[in-house]
Amino acid sequence: MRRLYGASPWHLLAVLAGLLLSAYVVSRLADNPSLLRIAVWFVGAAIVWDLVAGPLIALIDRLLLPLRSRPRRVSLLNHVRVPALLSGLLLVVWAPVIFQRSEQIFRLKAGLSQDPYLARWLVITAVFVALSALMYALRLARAGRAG
Amino acid sequence: MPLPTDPRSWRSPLRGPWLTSVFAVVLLVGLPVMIVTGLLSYAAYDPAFGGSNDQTPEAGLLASYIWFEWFTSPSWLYRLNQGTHVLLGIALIPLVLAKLWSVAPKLFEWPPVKSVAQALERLSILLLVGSILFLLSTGVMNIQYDYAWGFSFYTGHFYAAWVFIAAFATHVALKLPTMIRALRSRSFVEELRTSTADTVAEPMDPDHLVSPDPDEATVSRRGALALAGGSSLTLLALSIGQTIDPLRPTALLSPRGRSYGDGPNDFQINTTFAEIGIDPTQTGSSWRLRLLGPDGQTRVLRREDLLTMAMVTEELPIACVEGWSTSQLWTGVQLRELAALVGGRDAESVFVESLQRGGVFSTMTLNGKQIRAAKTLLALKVNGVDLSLDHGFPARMIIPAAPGVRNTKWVETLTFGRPA
Repeated sequence: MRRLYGASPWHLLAVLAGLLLSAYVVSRLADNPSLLRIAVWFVGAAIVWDLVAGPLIALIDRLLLPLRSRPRRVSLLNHVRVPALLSGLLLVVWAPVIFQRSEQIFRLKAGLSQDPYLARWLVITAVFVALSALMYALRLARAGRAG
Repeated sequence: MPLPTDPRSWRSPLRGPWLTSVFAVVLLVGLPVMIVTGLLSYAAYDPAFGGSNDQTPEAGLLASYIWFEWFTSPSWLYRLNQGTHVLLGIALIPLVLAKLWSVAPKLFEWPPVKSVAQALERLSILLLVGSILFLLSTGVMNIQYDYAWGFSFYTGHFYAAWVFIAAFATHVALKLPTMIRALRSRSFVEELRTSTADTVAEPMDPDHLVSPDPDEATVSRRGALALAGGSSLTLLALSIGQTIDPLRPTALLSPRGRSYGDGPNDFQINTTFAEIGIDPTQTGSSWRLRLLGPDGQTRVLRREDLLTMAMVTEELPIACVEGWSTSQLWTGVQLRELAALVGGRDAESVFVESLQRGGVFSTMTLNGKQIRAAKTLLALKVNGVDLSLDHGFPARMIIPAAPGVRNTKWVETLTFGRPA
C-alpha cells in the first residue's frame, strides 16, 4: 500500500472522502449555467493570491528592506510595514465601496451614495501613518537618551 | 535570482511548523464557527418551501441536514448568527492570508508530485485554498453590493461552502497530529518573550516550511503574531458597528455604518421604494390586504380596517444575510390574528406576496411556527409613526429571529396553506 500509494490507508480514506463530497457538489451544479463562472472565480481566486498578490507583496516588502539601516539603533522598517499593511488590508476588503464599484446598486438598495468611503479610507490611513511615526519618534528619543 | 522552486529562495526566518500551527489553531476554532453559522443561515430561509425561500434548488443531499423549520425565538437568533458569520469572516481574513503566507513554499515544491498520495492531497489543498478565497471574496463583495462575478451569490457561496467543508475536513484529518506536534515543539510564552534580535529559524522540518538559508529576522514571532492579530482586530473594530445600533458610526468603511438621520423611519434600508418601481398610487387609499384561507375563505381589508384590530408593539431586529442589523419598535397586527380571520389558525405555511412584481424576494413563504409566534406582525407603524414607503408602507411583515429578507415589504396578499 505505502509503496504503491505513498501514504497510509487512513490518508487515502480522508482524501477520497473529501474529494467525493466535492465531486457530488460539482455534480449538483452540472446543469447550472453559472458553473463555469463559479469555477473561474474559484480557480482564479487561488491563482490571484498565490501567483500575483503574494509575490507582489513579497516584492514590495523586499524593496522596503533598505529602510532597516543598521547603524541607527531604531529601524524604520516596521514603522512603514505596519501602517502599509493595515491600510492595504482595509483597501482590499472594502475596495468595492472605496472605489464606488457598486454606486448605482447601492443607491437603489440603500438609498445612499458611496461617495464618503475613499475619503474615510484616506483619513484612516493618515491616522495609521501618524501613529506609527509618533511611535517611531518616541523610540528614537528613548534610544537617544539611552545611548 | 533563484526560482521559487528552489527552497533557498524562501528567506523568511519566521516560516516554520510552529508559526503555521499557531495560525492553524486559531482557524481551527474560527472556521467551524463560520461553517455552523453559514449552514444555519441557509436553514433560516426554510428552503424546503421552494420558490424564493430556496435559492439553490439543485442542492439535493446538501440541504438534507435541515430537519427543522426555522425558529422564532429568541428574536435575536438570526441577528447573532449572521452578525457572527460576517464579522468573524472579515476578522479571519488576515489570519487566513497569514496562514497561506506561512506555507507558500509548499506551493512551489519541486518536483510537484512525488506519489499518488501527494497528488491527491495537493488537489484537495487546491480545493481548500480556492474555496476559502472564493468564500471570503464573494462574501466581502456581496455585503458591498458588488456582484462582479456574474452568478447568484447564494449559488456560488453555498456550493463553494460545501467544497470548503469537504476539503477542510480532509485537511484537519491529515494535519491535526502535525499541528499538535508543532505546537508542542516550542513554548508559546517563551516565543512571546523573544525579541527580534534573538529570533532565529525553527529547526529544519520534514515539510520544508523552514528556510534552509534564512535572512536575519526583521520582526520577531511575537511581532508577526501581533501583526496578524492586530490586523484582525482592526478589521473587526471597524465593522462591528454595522450590527450594534449605538456603535453604528464606528463602522467607518461598512456600507451599513451610515446614519439616515434622527427620524423614526431613519434606519437601514435594503431595497428602496424607488428600486421596485411600483406606482405610488398602489400604496394609497386604494390599497387592500387580501387574505386567502386554506379552505377558500377570503377577506379583503383596508388599512383603516387593520388599524381597528388589536395592535401589538414589539422591539424586533431586522437582521440581513449581509451581517448588518438594527433593532426598531414595530406596531402592527399579529399574523395569527389575520390567519384566524380566514380559518388559517392551524395553517402550515403562509405565502406572502408583495406589491412588487418580479424581483427575487417579492414573495416569501413563512412556516407554521412563524404564523403562530406572538411576535410575528404585519407591521403598520415603526417607532410610533406610519412606516415610510422605503420601509414598506402600507404594511410589511416583521418576523422574530428570521433573515431580513423574509420580512416582506409592501405586502398585498397572504395565502394560508392547508395543514398536511
